[in-house]
Amino acid sequence: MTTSFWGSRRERVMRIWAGWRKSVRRRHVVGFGCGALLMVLLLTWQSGLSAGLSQPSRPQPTLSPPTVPATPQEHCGGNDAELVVATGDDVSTDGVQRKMIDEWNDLLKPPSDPRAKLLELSGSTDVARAQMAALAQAGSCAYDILVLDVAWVTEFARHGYIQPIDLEGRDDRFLSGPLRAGQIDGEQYGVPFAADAPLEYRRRGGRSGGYLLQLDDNEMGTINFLETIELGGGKVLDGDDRTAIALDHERDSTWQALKSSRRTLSSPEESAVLLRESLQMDEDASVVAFKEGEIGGRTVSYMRNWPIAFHQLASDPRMRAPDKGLMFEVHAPATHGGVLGGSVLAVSQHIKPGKLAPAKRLIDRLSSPEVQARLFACGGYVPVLTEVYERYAGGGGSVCQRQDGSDITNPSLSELATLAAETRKSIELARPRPKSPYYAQFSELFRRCARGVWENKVSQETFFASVGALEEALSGRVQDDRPLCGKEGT
Amino acid sequence: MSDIEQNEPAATEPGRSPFASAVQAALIGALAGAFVTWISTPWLDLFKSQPFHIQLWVSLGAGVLVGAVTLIPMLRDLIQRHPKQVRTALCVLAGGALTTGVWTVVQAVAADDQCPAPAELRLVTAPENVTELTARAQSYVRQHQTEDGCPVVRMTVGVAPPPIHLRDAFDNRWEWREDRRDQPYARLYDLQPDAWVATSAAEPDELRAGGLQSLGAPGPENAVGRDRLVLAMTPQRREELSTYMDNPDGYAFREVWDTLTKKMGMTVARPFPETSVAALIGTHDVFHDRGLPRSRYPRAEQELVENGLGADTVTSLLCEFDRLADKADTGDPKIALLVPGHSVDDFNANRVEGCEGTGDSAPLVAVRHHDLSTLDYRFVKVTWPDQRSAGREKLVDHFGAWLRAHPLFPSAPGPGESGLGPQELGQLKRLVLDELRPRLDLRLLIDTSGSADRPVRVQAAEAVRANSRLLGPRDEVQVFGLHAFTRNGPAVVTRIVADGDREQLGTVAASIENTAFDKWDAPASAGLGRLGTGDEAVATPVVLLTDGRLFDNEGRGDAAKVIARALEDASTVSGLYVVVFGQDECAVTALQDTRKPYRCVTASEGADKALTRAIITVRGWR
Repeated sequence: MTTSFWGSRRERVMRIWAGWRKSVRRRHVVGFGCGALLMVLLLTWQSGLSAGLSQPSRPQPTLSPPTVPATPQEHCGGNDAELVVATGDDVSTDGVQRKMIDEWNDLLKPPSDPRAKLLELSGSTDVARAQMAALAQAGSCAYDILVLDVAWVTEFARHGYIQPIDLEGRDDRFLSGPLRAGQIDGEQYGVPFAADAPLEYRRRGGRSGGYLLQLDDNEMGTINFLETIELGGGKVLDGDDRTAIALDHERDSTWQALKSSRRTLSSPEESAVLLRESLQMDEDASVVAFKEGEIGGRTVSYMRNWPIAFHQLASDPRMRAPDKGLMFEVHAPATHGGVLGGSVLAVSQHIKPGKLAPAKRLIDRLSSPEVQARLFACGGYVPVLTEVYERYAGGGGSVCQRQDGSDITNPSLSELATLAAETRKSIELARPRPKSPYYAQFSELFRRCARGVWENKVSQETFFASVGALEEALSGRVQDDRPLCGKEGT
Repeated sequence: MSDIEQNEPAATEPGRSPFASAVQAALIGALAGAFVTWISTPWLDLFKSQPFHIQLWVSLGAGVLVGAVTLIPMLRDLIQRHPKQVRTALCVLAGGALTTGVWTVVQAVAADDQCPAPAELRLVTAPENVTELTARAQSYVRQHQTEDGCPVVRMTVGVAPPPIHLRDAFDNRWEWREDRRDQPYARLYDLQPDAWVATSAAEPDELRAGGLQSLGAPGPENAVGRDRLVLAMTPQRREELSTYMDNPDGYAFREVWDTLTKKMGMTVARPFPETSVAALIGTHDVFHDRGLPRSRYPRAEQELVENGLGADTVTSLLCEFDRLADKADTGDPKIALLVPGHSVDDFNANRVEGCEGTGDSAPLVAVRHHDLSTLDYRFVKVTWPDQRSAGREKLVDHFGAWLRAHPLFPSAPGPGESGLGPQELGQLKRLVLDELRPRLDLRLLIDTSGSADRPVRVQAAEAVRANSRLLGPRDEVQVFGLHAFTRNGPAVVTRIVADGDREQLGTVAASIENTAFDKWDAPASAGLGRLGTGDEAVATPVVLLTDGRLFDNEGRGDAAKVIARALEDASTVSGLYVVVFGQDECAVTALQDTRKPYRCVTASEGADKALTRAIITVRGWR
């Protein structure tokens, strides 16, 4: 039966093929060939033409991005006696990172290892990124370990500025979000060092005031606008690596979330008025305004900020009641939509071979439970190890005891435990920024458009028309002469 | 009726003139055209954005579709009459279509969606030029893309270190030269440049003359812009000036200056020359063009410091002026700003970095004068020994050449006198920054209460380290701690450092960092009382570094009055300068009942900058 079925089918095909051959004349084949040839000529001509003429204002490119030079080790700089850790700046203001480096040098490092040196590049993450990238492109060995903002890991990994690092099977000690932030294309490039996720700060006893964000024209502005939309029920990014622009998927809710004058609080049945002064706020300025409880004559009752603001507030006696209790509370957001921040420790591609093992030893130390606990208790840096959170949850955990025996400004164990619990919850709800080497371009364009909406300079139509440009930005392409959502708006 | 007759155009209706028919046809045509345009407009952009072969096939398809709908009988006839030709034509089309399909698939597969890494170039310039240079850099990036729209370079523009730090920065691989007592920390002067846009040709020339190797070769071909210094004032003040002189440029500069300061009661404000090269060049104009004898330089410079609104850069001067103009009770500020001409445009166009809404309350008008100096901007390539990359250096050169063809500040007035030479600039620096600055006995009073630990301790120490270049060989620093041992207890002043000179600032800073900030707040007035009863022969200024909480401890009554009285009573204190950390305002902004100078500022722009301003300001308080 099977044979006859296959046999009859084959016969049928053969009959069709014979009929087709009979009906096809030579002139048809020639015609088909001519059509194909004509189209090839046309497309080739058009392709050459479009490169030269499609954009008359764009000159024929005479430049190309340079390749990283193969600088000989003896000329690539760096001091063999130093292991340089390049970082932004120690935002704890207490210099706690420095203490960790000091301790490593004086007490812990093997005698043959070079001394570690902490080099602060800039308070601006954009400047720190540019500085690290420029040195990597020049083949410089001046920096050995990079403290990288998680937003830049993809760029540094894909462009070959940092090298993969082996966690030696101890991945499970890290929180999953920060761990994934250091993974690019299936490889681990960064060891989690500090995590960050948004918290809602709420002044006790003053619920009638407004909510302060940080919408200043820098990376914090981008993060806050992303959160405003995604915590408010809209959508900006999608996909596993968050590189799909979903701005126009749920237009109404996205627009409503961005334009809303109110912010839903961590207890979802409540909301507060968003303060327009947020447009001029960065992290530090908003902490100052929250402490004062007012900005521009308007009451401030709530603030979005990173966990590190907790220490800045808790150390100010004005934020404590006469019974020493805190005059503010912290809460994780109620839903997904916060932006995951933080930093990783990465090894420079150009590190000299002799420094590789010492660099790994220092990274191990900086990501150890002991250091992570102290960075959290004394500096406000958010831990990346589950063990540290579990200790606080079990009633243990570290507090920052100063050597002189005074603890009048440091958070207590129960305060740190509350902070740890809310921070962990927020980290688990937070989403990463797009894993694109061109995140910086996306960030700038998205922020410009979102700020433009807040300033009533950018229309709804223009805002949603930015989808294509945002996709182009994520692939690294630049805009034409008249940038979308430019200063004059549309 | 024959086919031919059927296809003839319809005859004009009887009773209607040919003219009326023509008008009717024209109107219908116009309406139809408008309708088709209206319908198709949204689709035109979409069509234009498609690749050429898609446009071709869409046009062909649309044509065939329209033809098929309207000319079905004719097509049927054509197919029946010429079946072979039609079949051949379809084969041609099929060949073309197949080729297009294969082409599109190959293009899609071969295309790399992601751009290659652009070269990362770093530029620095004086703060007042950052906005213009950033715009130029963005324009360059847009103009120099690869064929598929990828940028060749990415540029970051940062602020260059102030004049007093420039040599250190270049000499020390852009790291601060600070005495850290062997502690393993260092910091950069922010962005380390691949190129520096200097405000004057003399600036890099002076550094080269000192043996600096890392700067590119000098030459007029590096000129990338010109501007002139101007006196900027509000339109009302400009109008008032017109009542004295129609065209100030027709008078000697001395006469313009005297009219402004004596007849109109204005002050002239300029940033500190230590931190702004435009101000340094402006100082030359003030001394030279006013025809002042050498003996009057110290007084003239002290007046400029006192009237400078405490600003260290042109940008911060513009911000301070705007804040003054915004204050309703200040009215129209009687201040003329000595700044580059383009800064006036920036101010009026709300382009001053870090200041929102400049020019809203009072715009500025530039008063130009031929005696005011030309600013001759130069592109200076910088090479660092451990960052050599021929490809990157080629791009830096290319950008420099492009910037020469697209210079900064194109709307600035034409060339005036040539700027200062490197020798003149060097002499001017020595004159203003070394000789004219009086000796300073600085007393730092540091709030060592527990609340000041986080905001003040490390930042104050870093600020002290960072200001070694501001102290001369004869200057001395004493550091005291201010606190109380109990809540609301009596103020205690402890000596942290007895006498330190500029060579010992590392020790001074380490002493501050190692001091325990673990006591209670004590009132500033009581601290002045403790400091003010010494046996110093000459009264010296006090700079108080605090988190601001100690103002709450001034007891009953008005804190300003209490502090004023304490300042007046402190015979060895010549003035009080308060720097508040971690807050955005001072609780006591001015004192009424004292002749001694008082100033209170926040450290919001950075502790080292705040201390720089404090040191320059209090130097003349005697």
